[in-house]
Amino acid sequence: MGTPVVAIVDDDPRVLASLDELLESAGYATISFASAEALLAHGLEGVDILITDIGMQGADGFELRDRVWRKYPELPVFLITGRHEITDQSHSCGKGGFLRKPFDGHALLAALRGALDDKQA
Amino acid sequence: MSSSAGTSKSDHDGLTKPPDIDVVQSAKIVERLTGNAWATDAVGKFIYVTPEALAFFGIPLDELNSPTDAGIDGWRQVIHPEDYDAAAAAWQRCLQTGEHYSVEHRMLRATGSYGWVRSTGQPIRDATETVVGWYGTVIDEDSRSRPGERPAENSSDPSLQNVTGAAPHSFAAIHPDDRPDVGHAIESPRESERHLQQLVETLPALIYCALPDGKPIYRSKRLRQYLGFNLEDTDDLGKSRLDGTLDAVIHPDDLATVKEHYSRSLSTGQPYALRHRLRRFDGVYRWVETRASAMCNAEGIVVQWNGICLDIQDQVHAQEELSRVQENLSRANQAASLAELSASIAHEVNQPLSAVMNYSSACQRWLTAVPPNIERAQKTLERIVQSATSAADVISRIRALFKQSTDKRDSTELGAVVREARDLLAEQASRQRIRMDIEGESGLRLVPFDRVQIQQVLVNLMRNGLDAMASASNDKTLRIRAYRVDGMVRIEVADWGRGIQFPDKIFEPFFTTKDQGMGMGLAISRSIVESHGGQLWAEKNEPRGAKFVFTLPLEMMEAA
Repeated sequence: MGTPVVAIVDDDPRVLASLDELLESAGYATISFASAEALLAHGLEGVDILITDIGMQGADGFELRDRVWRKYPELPVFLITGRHEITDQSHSCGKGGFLRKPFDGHALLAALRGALDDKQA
Repeated sequence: MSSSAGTSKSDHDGLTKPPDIDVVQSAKIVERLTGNAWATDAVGKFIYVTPEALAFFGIPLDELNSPTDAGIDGWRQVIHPEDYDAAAAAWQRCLQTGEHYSVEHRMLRATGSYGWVRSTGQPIRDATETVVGWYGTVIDEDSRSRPGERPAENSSDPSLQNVTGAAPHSFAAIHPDDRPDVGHAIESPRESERHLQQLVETLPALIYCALPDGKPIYRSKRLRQYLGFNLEDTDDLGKSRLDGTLDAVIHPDDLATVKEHYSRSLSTGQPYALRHRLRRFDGVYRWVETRASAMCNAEGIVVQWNGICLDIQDQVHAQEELSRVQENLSRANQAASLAELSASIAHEVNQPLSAVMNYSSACQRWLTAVPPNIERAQKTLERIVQSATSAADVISRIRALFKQSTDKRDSTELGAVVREARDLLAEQASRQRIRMDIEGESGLRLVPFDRVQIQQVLVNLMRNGLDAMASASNDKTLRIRAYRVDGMVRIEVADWGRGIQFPDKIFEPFFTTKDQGMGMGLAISRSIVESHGGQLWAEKNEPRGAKFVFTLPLEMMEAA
């Protein structure tokens, strides 16, 4: 397997750019999108992991995850939220997880690593 | 009298000349009064019927006398079938006993429709007291009270009779078959009028009637009682009855509008509707809604105004109360916006903070890579500074936000703001069985302040106090005191809760000891108080609990 590809969706360009930097520093290839629609228009061919913000204009993170999982049910999807209550009440039933802003970058990278290892196993 | 008889004769050219006997003479006297009259012999056979009466009946004299069936007089055909038996029985009894005949019944008009009439008859006796004949008249009850005409024999109110005749729901105007069955018999016009009068007098409304020029001519009992006087009582004031009444009962502030609307309606015939204050008998002005509309005759000429007046004082009160509640609610929303503000501040700060953390992790990785990527680490550090700066910008923007709103400062009395804050929390306090005590010096004049913001601070501190006592079992009192200290006013909000564990930390943003909330309330409150030139801090309350204190500058008294 070559360099893993991570797709990032966040409507805040500051967060998007910082995630991009973080993943790049960890050796991932990234493609970034400012909205769910932009990612869906681009397609998920070759994407190994999806990280998406929850609260966005247009389709939100949950909707994006559901639509992606219809075609790629095995794709790990990580949801990022600024709101505490969402992570408390909603547990993912597929692969991936929740991250609460602001999160520890090392924890994110560890979670990504774990998801990729599961995929390969 | 003889000339009248002569006129009558000349009108009868070509007709059988009536005999010049007492009953006919009497009928002719009546004719002069009412137009229609009749005379019969002792057994009830018509001798004379005046031309107007014949026209009214719509059948000739000989037909009135001819038996239509089995020996019954022909006038049966002009009386409503349902009324005939009673009328005929009364007539037969009178013929036998010689007593006065007076019966109300419906009569077929020449137009083909039935109308209510009163038939009256009086016997004429000879010198031996023997009845020699009858004379009488038929009074058209449906039209007897044309404007300006006196009712024939009724002491009830002419304006109401007018209503009886014209109002769409009065019984007289309803087809005989459709009239409501009141008790056992169909109502006569008199009964129907009495019924209407009862209706008008018992309606929970104030009813009045007025002439086309507005002169009041009738007031229902309730209206008379409400005003404490009646129609004539304002006649000696040297004004018209309308003006005299209006000047006496309409609130001075409403008088001009009322008069304007009245005169507009009177001149145009347009319905009148207005809310105004009306002076009750006890001198109290109460809000009423008055509506009047014109009653017109067949030609469309206004013959009378009928009005209704409803006391809407309670509704007006309720409405005022509602707007007060709504105003409070909107203030509560402003107070609630503290929570929303906290959430949005949290989000705004969170975003650059997330970036800072991501960049920090990335920077660490670039530095720990083998070999270290110094160049990328350097760039990432720059991004960290940028993101941290943008977080600081969020804070400055919030401060600027508070600064802008200080333009709205006013000089409301502090006590009023405290009481409003208490009202906003009254529901929560009573639910938690917490007493709120407010004491303070009166007339504390602050330098102009932003009432909404200071109320937010008070609501926030008081709500904290209530929350702190939520689990306490007894002696639950929230005490708010305001008094003067060294040119400042000092406001204390003291609770008997568990007290403060971290008196230094509680004013820090996002610090909270509650399950709910962002921990921004006290931070924002302190920011508001400081922007007003005051200070906010926490103390221990004696014997237990917490006491939050803030100061605001008092307005300086002008030097004497």
